Amino acid sequence: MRCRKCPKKAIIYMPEHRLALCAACYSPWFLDHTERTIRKFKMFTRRDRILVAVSGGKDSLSLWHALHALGYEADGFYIDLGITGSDHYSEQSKQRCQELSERIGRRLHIVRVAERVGAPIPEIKDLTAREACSACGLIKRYLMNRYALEAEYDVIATGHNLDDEVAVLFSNVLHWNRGYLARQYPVLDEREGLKKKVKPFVYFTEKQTTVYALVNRIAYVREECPYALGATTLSYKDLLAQLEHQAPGTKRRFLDGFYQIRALFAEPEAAALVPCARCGQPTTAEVCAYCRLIEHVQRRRGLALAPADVNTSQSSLKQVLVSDSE
Amino acid sequence: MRVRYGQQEYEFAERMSVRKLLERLGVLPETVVVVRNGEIVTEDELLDVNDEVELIRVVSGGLVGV
Repeated sequence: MRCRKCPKKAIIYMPEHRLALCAACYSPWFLDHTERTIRKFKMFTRRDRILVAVSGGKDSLSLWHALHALGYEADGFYIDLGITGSDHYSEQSKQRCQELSERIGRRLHIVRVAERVGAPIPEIKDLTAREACSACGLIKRYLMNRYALEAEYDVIATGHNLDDEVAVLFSNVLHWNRGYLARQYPVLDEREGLKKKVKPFVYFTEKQTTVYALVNRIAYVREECPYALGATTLSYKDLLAQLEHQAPGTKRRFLDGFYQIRALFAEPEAAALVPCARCGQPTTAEVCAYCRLIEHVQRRRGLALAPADVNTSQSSLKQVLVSDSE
Repeated sequence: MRVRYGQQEYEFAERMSVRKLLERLGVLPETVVVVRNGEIVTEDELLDVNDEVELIRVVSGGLVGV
């Protein structure tokens, strides 16, 4: 198979676009489509400071690389979950992020869950009734937002791709999670202490982001997070891959169709956000879920509550966050 | 040819296309990138008996929304 744009041999055929590209023509196409998505959804401009949430995986590292290649001012933000195991998952992930940081000359901020919450993710999983992915999600969302606010970034960018978004949409429709459906969109605008969040890779498949990483020699962690192996998301992705194989373009049509009607799920009276009584971050309750999690974990471990994470002023919060940066 | 897919290794004694190989292994092309002797190849490519082939799984899970 030959490249559509030049005589070289193709490395990827994308049936949903009816397009075959070679290694040399792939990255320009990929970057052009990233830029188109950024503009279509008015995600950010070259005047904005972008904080890219990086995990060490192919999607987030490719996103950081692509935004830098496109001339955006993008720094990385890595949350060390403290997952060890035979693959030293978190250590390897952090190394991959540091390698890219050095290569593109952009700053990588690192925050450790064990220091902020009082225990790493494996221990939090054992100490609480929460699933590992649920606790992990809560902690990541909180730390990303707080860090972006305190370090004065304009927007948080994540590497969620088409397969991720379609799997989440499938799950939300299957369970009629109206609240989640109302909030599923590539751009969530800033409001009441919540930073703007964007997903520039929302139209790329996982195969496309993987090929971008390989073509650009971006070293990423190939091992799956040990807690994600049994995740329901993976079974949804398998089902959706079969549908896509039989009818290319199905996933994109499903997602775009939803975007056109998502207003139907908008909640007429969304719960008002108020500052958390402990940390000052926005919440719908008196004390936010993150602070409640910290209290629970530290109580179960018999630790005194760390002054850095509860009952602190905004100025000392900033000091704590900046001291995490590497 | 020798084929590596995650922790598994397979040996095949005959030439076949990437598409045929994926069918034999029950793998959907959307879920892997196929690398032959260090180079990414498309499904129509013919694999030789001496080729070293790696299937890189692209699917990841355990998503958290933001």
